[in-house]
Amino acid sequence: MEDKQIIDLYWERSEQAISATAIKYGNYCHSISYNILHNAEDAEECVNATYLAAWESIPPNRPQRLAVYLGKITRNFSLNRVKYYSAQKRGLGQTDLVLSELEDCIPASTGVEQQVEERLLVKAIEAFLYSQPPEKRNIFIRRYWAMTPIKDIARSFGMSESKIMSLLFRMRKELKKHLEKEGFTL
Amino acid sequence: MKQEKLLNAIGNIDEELLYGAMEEPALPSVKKSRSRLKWCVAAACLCVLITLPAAAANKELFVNVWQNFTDWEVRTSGKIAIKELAPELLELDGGYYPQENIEAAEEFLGITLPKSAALKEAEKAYFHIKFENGDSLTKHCYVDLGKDSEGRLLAINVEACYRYGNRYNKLPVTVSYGLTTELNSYDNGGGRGVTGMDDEENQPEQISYITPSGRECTIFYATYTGDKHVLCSGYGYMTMDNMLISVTIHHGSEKAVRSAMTQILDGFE
Repeated sequence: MEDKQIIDLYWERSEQAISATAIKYGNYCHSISYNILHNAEDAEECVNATYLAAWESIPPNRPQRLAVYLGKITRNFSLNRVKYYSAQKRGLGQTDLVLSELEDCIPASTGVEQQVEERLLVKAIEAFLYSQPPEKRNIFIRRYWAMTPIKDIARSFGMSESKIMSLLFRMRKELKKHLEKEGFTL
Repeated sequence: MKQEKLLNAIGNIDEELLYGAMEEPALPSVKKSRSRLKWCVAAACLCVLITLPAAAANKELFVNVWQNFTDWEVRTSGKIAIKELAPELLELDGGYYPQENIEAAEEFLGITLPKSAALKEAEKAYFHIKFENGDSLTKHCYVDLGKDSEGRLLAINVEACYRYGNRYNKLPVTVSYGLTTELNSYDNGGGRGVTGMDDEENQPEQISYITPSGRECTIFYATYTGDKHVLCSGYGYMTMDNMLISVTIHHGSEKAVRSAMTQILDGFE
């Protein structure tokens, strides 16, 4: 079913919207959540929460890109779950790895107004990503937005894991430079 | 935690960025994997045509210009295929441009694409395809361009294909590829949901024609889902002054394919 039709179902308040979403984007959402949580049951819960959130937010929203819309919700739910588990000091697979990989990208912190800073940071990251060739950009996003394991990225892009790691390493260095140049001292 | 800030910021980046990267489930189903494999095969066929001559000629800067493109699979598998077929092109760079950025691609390539009329024609052709069950299709058009290190255009592959809206490859009918490594050969491009394409008794008919400027083209066409749906592939291939141009256009009426092919090929006169 086309996205537009699915969104129309949401707007019509037809429960078929959920099943259509699950059929089309269930695996996709589950994979995002699973990459973050590394637990199938937790991922399933986050995906179900995503469906509910979609149901509650469409309408009034009418997402232009349903996949991205759902993906963002799933990611947020999953990261919140990570925070919950982090509080309980549980091990969490990719998320910790990703966090540790990103650590070196950000210079030392200062007291910049947080909200403004966050928005500017998003803009700076966007500018950085837009300046990258699409393939590199997509690899970066797959890793740091979706937290996809390196081996899965390598398989998707037909590269070796070492090449992906080296590419990401270089990109992180470039990103750090870019952020420093933009004056970010988080 | 500072990493967390960055992670959150990355989580809020422009949807446009995510769109290209996140279209595919990161943990594909078995069905999806099979589908992707087939797409890779199809893309490999595509890339043989484009990359091998270019690879032999020189390092290639490969730019894909996509129109209305929403299918990441072809892009990704195409890249893989390029790299597998022509590992010396590791420096290959790529760009996926939405329609509004085609001008940027033209600027980058230093050429003006004779695309507008041709692709519009191809798009028109697409609307001729309707399925009996009433399903609608998502239209895709794209243009692949290759340029050597000295900036000469090496190859252009103009292709227009439909894809069923559902990216899980539920294709009731084909988006067949007329991809070839030589004139008059035909590859069904695998994984396109085509039934009968491998059937020797059901090979596509070929019609050769000459454009007004003397370019020889071949159209492959066949009907696979009943007589209402004619699927056409046009193909042109030539060399002149170290320039290779190959063109394929798929799935239009014969008239539309001829028209588009002629406009594209003769546009390089």
